[in-house]
Amino acid sequence: MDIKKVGFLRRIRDHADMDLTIDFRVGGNAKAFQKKGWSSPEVAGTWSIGPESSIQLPSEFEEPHYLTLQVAGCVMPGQQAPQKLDVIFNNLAVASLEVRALAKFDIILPAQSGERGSSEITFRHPEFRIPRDHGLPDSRKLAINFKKLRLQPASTVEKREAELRNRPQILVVGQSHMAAVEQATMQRDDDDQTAFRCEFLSLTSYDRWFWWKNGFQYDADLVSKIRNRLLSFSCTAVISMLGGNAHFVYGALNHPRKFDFVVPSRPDLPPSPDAELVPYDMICERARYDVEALLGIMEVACKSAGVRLFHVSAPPPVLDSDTMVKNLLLAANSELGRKMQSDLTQFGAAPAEFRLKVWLIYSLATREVCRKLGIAFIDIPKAAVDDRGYFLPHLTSDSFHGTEAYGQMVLTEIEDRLGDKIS
Amino acid sequence: MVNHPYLRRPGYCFWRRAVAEMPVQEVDPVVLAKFKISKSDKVVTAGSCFAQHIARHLKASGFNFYVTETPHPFTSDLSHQQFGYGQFSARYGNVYTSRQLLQLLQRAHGKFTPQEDFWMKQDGRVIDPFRPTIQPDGFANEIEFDRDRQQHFAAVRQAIKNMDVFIFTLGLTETWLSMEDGAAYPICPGVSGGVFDESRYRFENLRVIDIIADLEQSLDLIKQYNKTAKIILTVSPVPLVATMEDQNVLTATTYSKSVLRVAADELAKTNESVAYFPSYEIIAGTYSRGRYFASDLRTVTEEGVGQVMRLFMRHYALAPTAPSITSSRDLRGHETAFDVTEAIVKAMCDEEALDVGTSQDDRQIQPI
Repeated sequence: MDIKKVGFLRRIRDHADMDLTIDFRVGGNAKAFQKKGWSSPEVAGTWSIGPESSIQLPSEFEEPHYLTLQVAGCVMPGQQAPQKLDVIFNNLAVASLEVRALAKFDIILPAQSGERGSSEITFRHPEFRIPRDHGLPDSRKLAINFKKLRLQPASTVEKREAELRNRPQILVVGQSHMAAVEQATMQRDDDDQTAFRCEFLSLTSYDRWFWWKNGFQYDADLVSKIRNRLLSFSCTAVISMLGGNAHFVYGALNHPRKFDFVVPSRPDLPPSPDAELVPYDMICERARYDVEALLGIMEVACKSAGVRLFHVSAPPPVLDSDTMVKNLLLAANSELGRKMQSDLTQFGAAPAEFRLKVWLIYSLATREVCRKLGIAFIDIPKAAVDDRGYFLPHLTSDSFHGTEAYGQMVLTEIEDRLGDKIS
Repeated sequence: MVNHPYLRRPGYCFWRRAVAEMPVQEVDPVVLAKFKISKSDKVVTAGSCFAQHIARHLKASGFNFYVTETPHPFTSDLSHQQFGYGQFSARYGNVYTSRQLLQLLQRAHGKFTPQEDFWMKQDGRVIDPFRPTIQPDGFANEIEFDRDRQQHFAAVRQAIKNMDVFIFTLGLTETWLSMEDGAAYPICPGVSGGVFDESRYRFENLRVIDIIADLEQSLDLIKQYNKTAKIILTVSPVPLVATMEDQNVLTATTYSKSVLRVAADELAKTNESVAYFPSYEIIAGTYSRGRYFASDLRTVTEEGVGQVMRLFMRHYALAPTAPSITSSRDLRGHETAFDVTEAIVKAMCDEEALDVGTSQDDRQIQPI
């Protein structure tokens, strides 16, 4: 047995009131607690396998504890409905949850008698999904992706929450790129390092894709939805993390009518000789059109609610095209993903230089629109890109979205910008 | 009993019967079309800003307005017109003179390379001297300019090679040329780009023989690549915005239109494949008492354009066509036909810039 692990277990046993964090990601400590129904740890977490999984806790506790779960569902083509997750604590059903995207759940665990000496948590997840059924090279029965689990005495949690209520509140509104910051925020909550109280509003389900030609369109009632959320949350500032889909989709694949363009500030990225040249100004105008549609909604909502709006840039593309394509093939979990895969087969992946240029144009357009609408622009952290401007590979797990580490970097940028404005 | 040849002339040869006693909208100066255009025929257009109306109406009437330089579908529809797409078959902008047409064909086919390649602005952006307003703020840099021009010339070659009918509207005789190699600019250098330098540029008012020679050379060049193409020449009825001649703009306009009209007729008389269509007469003829001009006495109203195109379709269309654009309501909800016409013409006429920046005093009639 690992000596370090023994020491850890002993320390836990000595305490009747447990404050324990189990990290299911690569390099985490989850293996020491896992009983049955687990896959190997991955960068994003550990998959529970099949209909049931369980963990063994080294002691019982004398007062009620909060069990905080950070989990995400398994989304497959045609299988995007929430998955059921029942939590059983020492044969007592304590929660029945529905999991789809990344989510955090707080569950109360009752105090124990002290007779068992240890505790067991069982997770029942009957709706596992098999990637191979969808043509993907993975035959595991994937149920729920566990990222982190934390146990804390209820009195400690309630005391800290009371403190948190006095901290400035911000609402983060975004799509898929928001997840990195959401994870980072959860980590900071765990470490009690949160400068702000954050709430997250995902607009992913509001995307309506009109492939290539028409860009984004949003539900007409979105402005009132965001505004109402702002008013009910009474936040000090709003952080927009919208965007990113446009440059990702347009940059990743060759267009059916392959095109390219110059970026005057980057002579090192000349247009491809075998692509149709489109005037730079027209590309910029298209990008401004897309970005304005996105940020315009936020600006209207925030203005009517009297809240300051900040916008965080989406991360740039990665340099490695092969990995990007592999990840794209794994991401067939939406209509967009399937369309991209179909076009990938037919038209091929765009070169990294093209991806970067599309991002540069959208980034420029975002700055311009922010300036025009009076929105404070927060650039990507300088340390997140290489000297050519590509996203550093270790900060993304899927070639598109940032990891928690990237989220931490962004969160620091946000805190720096917001610190003096809302303290 | 009198007997002379006029007695056997048809009614259209007599002013009273063909013009004076006819309702305005029934005056039809076209007697016989030299050939017909089918809906599948590829029609290419070029010329002054008036020619843009022809393209617009051809499209609306269901003709095959052949466009070889189309905007990329990724770009916003709102920007297409600003960037010179769809005005003509390719992005050459307004081709006002016969010299410009000849040199466009020569340049596209590698037979003429002007010494003056581009005009660089202070901010590093680049203007094409031969289509200075094709992009609102010029090209982003030299690379973009060079690549775009290659694409443009390829589109011109494709249009010339594949077209069935070429409609060219002659607009002006006054032109500015490079002293170095005779390159013809659509607009005086310095107006919409570049810097005017009298040691480098010279004014020329083309004469009939110049225009006939330009058009004949153009025709020869077209025939090298497309032996079966038919040509329709028209003369723009739009008066000059300004003249460089030391004369009143009215007499300068009369000279210019007269010369163009004579040259067009000469070409049509001497070439089986060339026809003349009387746009000029339909709009500017005295019979209409100026009703086809807007209040500035220069802009052609939508009604006037509609009348030109109605007669064009009547005589040149092989089969009945869809109604052409006749109402302003067809166009983006503008209030009046004048508003519509003004919006369209002003957006695309390079020469309008000649009268921007001149003082009110300058516009006064000079004492004789």
